[in-house]
Amino acid sequence: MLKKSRLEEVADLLSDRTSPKGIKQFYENTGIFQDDFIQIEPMKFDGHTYAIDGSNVVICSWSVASLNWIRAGYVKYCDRAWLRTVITYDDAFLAAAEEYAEEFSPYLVGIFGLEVLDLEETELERLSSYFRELQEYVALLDALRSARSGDLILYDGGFAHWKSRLLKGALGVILKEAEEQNIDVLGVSKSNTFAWGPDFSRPFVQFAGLVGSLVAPRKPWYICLSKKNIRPNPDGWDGKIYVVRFDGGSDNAFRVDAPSFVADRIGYTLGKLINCACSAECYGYPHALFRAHREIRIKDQEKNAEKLKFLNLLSQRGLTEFQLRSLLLDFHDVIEVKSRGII
Amino acid sequence: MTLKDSSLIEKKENQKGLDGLLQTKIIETKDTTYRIIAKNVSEYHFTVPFEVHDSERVEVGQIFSIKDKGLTFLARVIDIRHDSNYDGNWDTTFTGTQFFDQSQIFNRVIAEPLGCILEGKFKKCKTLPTKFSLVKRAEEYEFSFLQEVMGDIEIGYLRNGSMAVEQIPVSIHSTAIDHHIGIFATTGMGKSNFMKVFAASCMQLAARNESKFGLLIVDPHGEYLKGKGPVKGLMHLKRYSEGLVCYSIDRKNFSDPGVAELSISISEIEAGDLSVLYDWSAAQRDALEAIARVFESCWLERIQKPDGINKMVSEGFNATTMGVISRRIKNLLEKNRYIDPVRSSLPGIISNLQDGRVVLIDIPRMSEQSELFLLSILSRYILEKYKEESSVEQKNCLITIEEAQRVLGTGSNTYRFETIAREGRKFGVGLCAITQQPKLIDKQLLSQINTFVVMGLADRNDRVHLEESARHDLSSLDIEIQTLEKGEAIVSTLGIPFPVPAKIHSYEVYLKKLEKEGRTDERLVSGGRFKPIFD
Ligand SMILES: Nc1ncnc2c1ncn2[C@@H]1O[C@H](COP(=O)(O)OP(=O)(O)OP(=O)(O)O)[C@@H](O)[C@H]1O
Ligand SMILES: [Mg+2]
Repeated sequence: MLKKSRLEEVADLLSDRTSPKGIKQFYENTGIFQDDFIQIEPMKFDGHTYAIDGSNVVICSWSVASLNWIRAGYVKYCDRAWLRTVITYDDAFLAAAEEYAEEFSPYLVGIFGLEVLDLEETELERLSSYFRELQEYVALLDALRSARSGDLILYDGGFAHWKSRLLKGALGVILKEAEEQNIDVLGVSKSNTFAWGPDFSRPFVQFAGLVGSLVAPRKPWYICLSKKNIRPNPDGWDGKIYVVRFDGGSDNAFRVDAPSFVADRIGYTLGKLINCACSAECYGYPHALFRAHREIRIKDQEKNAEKLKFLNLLSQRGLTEFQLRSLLLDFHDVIEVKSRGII
Repeated sequence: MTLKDSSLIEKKENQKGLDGLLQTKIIETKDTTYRIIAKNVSEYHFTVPFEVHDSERVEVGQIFSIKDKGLTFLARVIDIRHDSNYDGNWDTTFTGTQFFDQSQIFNRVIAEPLGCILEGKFKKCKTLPTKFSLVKRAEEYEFSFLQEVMGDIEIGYLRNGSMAVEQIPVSIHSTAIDHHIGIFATTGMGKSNFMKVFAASCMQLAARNESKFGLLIVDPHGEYLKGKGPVKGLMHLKRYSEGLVCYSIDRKNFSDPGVAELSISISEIEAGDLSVLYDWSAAQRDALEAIARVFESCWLERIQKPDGINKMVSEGFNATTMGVISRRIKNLLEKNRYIDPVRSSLPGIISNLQDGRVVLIDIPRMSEQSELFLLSILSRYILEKYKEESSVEQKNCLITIEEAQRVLGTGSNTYRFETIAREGRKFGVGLCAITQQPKLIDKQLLSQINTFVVMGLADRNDRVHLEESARHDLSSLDIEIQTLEKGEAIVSTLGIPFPVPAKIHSYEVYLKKLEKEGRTDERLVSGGRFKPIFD
């Protein structure tokens, strides 16, 4: 059992965040003050909004490698009306140390004009995540190429510190093109790790949301995190990070990353977005991202169907059920005495 | 559904994205509605846009067709529900912005298959349409197969939702009538109107010598003969008056050449006929049964006199009992003036029925007991005659009973009608039971009735009672039956493969149609002076 005193201590720390004392402390500790909450004015926008998302599920894994299903694409909206969904990648990916170069190259080299990828040993574990990310960037580039000056592209994820990322090359191409064509690109994250507080890590975005409700009730607003005292450091890259409340009626705020050329006109860019972030389905979140998520996500049913198909192929090639089990078994499931589903 | 395999969404596959480097799929078509999405052989689901123009609204009872390769499935809407692609309570958290993805929200239509058409032939469905097959409102020509299964007694038009399909008349088969007919409707929904339309069609057949049965209508409300005000009666159908024979107890009508005075000869009345008149005690019942044995003839006259009573007493019956019986009988003869020492309409009634005419017995303002008494005599007489003469060349007979729950109810002591319900068919005698309270009709008797004309029924118990005994499964039509309006009906009958939604003709309109039909042409041709240029 956990010690009660310890639980009480943490409960105190977390609960004081909503007290007036907590808010004062927030101002003092983060360096964010009332004036930093900037109200977003809606902008008339008759261009198109694109939202990019990707999905990655394991079809089958056998400790040293895995077969994944990856899907990436985007949705296109004009104001509140959906126009189309484009799937740019929807296929299997073999995440194996010997194979990955072949899988990445057509995109990295062929599409982005970059070098062949050479991964460190430690990076191999995240192979399928990298590939999904790459495919999201491909989708982003495809959206970019069909967009017109003034359009808005939303990406489900972040851009911060992109230059130190594995796929920096691809992002470099995208952001450069977006800037040249005058297209706004924003990364909107559903989760983040920002924290504040001297002695104890309090969740930053949620707290900022609460404070925002007090200082700008029922208004959409944003705060810029540059030079503010939060962890991890939001600065040190060619862009800015914001916390945004897209709709005054919503309780949620989101982290938004903007490359510097968008950060220069952030109020205007966010103004284009707020008319479409108040749908009944997903109030307070950009609706295009909501639709992209639902449309591109690989559903459990789909995954299970493909998994069965694959196991079938293996058994057609002579593998017995026993062999399949010993090959594909995750021992965690045995220890947890879990039902093992299809395998 | 994998996006790859979907035929639901029209897609432009293999579009070259990014200057021809990518194999992209583009999903553009918003219209995923009007496609079969579920569910099994006995129930189809399809979606329609959640918001449509009034003229495109889907209604319970409408018929849709699904073309699937060589087959055309026909299905009738039994329910409509709100639905969306989302789980959970997204719509109750609606925050007043009026913004939602229109293409993700729809109505789910639940339809029941009527059957399918293969090479012009209608049959029951043993299969279901391919998923995502297109669904369309059924068009008139798709119902044409129905014309082949329709009978000869026209009652209305096919109804698609609340629209009448005038190209497809709904008609009951003459051959179904000795399997009995039930007309069920809450008061004011059109039972009497239906009967007049039905009778008019019978008159037409009779006048053309095409009728296959005689129809007996005993009308205690005096509404069928001449109607009232704008409401027309059977006598207004002059063109086919040969098909109608009327008897009345109302002097006012006697002057009319088409109406005869009703009379029943005293000798035609049997002691058993009295059983419907009063709640007889066991002792009285015994005495009544014995009367016919004790007096060989003229029992009705003799039992009214002291010597008649004495004779019964000497046979061992109680004097008081006999006194009551005697008094009641005097009373009866007093009240029913049509009972005559000698004259009788019965032979005429029978022969007209045997010839296939409509026989209307007009007894306005008669007491309920007297009405049942008369009906009881008529039915007995008819059944006896038809039994006797079953070998003779005669047409079948249909006896109409208004407020049939009185004589076909659970526990009613009118075995006579029950006998007809159970055995009449053997001799070609059927019942047409009209009631506003089907729930009061004995289940077993109800199950003998093979033609149901169900009109609006508000009481749930009435509907359930019918649904449980109908020949076709009507339970899925419950919502539709609830929403039927005046004159709208569901007709479940022999020879027609499914319960047919019908719009019963308004009698007044039908009358005009019958009077006019085919006339102009005949006159033009027979006149000989003028020939239509288009032939
Ligand atoms: N098929 C129809 N088309 C148009 N009007 C109709 C139709 N059926 C009935 N009506 C109208 O509805 C009214 C009531 O009809 P009707 O007298 O036949 O009802 P009912 O069921 O016999 O009522 P009750 O229980 O009082 O005998 C009439 O005025 C009639 O004109
Ligand atoms: Mg009536």
